[in-house]
Amino acid sequence: MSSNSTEATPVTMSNLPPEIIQNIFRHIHPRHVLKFCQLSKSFQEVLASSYFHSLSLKTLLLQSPQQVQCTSTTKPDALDTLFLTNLSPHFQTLYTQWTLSSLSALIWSNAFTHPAMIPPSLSTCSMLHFLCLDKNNLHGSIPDSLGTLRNLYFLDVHENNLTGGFPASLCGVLSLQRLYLDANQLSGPLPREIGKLVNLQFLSVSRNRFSGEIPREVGGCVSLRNVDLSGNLFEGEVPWEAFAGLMKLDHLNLGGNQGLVGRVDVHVFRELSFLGVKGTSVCVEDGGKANCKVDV
Amino acid sequence: MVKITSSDNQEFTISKEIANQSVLIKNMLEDVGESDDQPIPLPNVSGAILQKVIEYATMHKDDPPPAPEDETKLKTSEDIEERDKEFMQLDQGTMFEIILAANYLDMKNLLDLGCKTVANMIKGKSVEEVRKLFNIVNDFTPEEEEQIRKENEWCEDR
Repeated sequence: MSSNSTEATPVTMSNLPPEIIQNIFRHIHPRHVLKFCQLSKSFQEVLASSYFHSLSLKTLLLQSPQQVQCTSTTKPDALDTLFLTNLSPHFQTLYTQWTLSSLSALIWSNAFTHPAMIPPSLSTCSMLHFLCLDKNNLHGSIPDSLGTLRNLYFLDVHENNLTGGFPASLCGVLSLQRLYLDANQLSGPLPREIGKLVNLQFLSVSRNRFSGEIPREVGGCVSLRNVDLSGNLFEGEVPWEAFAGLMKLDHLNLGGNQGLVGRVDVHVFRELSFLGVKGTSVCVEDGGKANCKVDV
Repeated sequence: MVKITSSDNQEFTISKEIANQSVLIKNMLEDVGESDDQPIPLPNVSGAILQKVIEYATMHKDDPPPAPEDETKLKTSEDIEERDKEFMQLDQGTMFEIILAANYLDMKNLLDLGCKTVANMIKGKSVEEVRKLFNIVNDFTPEEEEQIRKENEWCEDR
């Protein structure tokens, strides 16, 4: 057997084309890949940039099952739901920088071990319909950019240290059905534009520092079933007609807003089964109505 | 039967089912048609390497065609068949040449096998060990190296 291959420059690891190097490292967990950027300048170039850019997020995430659970329910080739828990902050930053465009649900509860902010880059997940960032020690404000998520129907950021106001941009997310902002340090009034959220069923903003009058425009949220405004600094007359017009309203908690005043007859509500006014100056008539528990 | 010639003008006569494992040759055969008796030149592959590639193709001639890339599947290097492991027990130069040949000939299974084999050689080793194993020259200044090490510290094993 003759061969002239020895006459040519021998092939070594260093002179393999970049796509082959990437192919090789693709079989190694990304956690262990980055350190090989230190091998030489050419490896750094191939691995640090193109490698990660060419790597799809779902491929990457599927390789760390202890940290990430992924379910793919509708389309077998797409990553639908992403659970990220107990990741280091660096990982979190990187994950959000990678292409999340196909992601429809991000469940990132109780995941941040260090104080972090809601990554504004989440707005790049244009298909996102389910976003859970609760119990994460998040600070800063809710980015306005979340208002660009036109498919979002579930947003849960409760139990963080978020500050700033109710992001007006969220009022443009007409798909929104459930909004949980409870137990943060959010302040300022609820925007009048909130009435545009005709699909909103759950509006839960308890234990914040929201203030001002409850906008009567809330009556525009015709799908509302559950409203929890308790433990804030709301004041003034409660817009009873607006709430009474909500045909599906089942649960209304206004408790702990010392500045709220007014007088209401629970008979004006059709479906209400709970009315919380404890710690307010609201006076409820006919508190003994059979179907509605009134917490005074 | 199909005739192919290597870069060093060695001629090989192989069956069509073996030839078809290379997407490159398969497409060439489709282009030139059945009747053509001209050998197909493969100027990027030496005879010695082509011999090994044919050996692999013969070993796998009864395999189903490779499935299209499934990104939801984990890429793992742990699933190498025993006979493939034996096949890949080669010196580094030959191993890399087979990888290049598989890439050129568009033989996905062989390319994957080669890449997995190299990945397995890298796994669990330190940067310095990998440099040594593959004769990779460290062209960073100590300062640059320290900088990169810091940047990637977070993903190191703990």
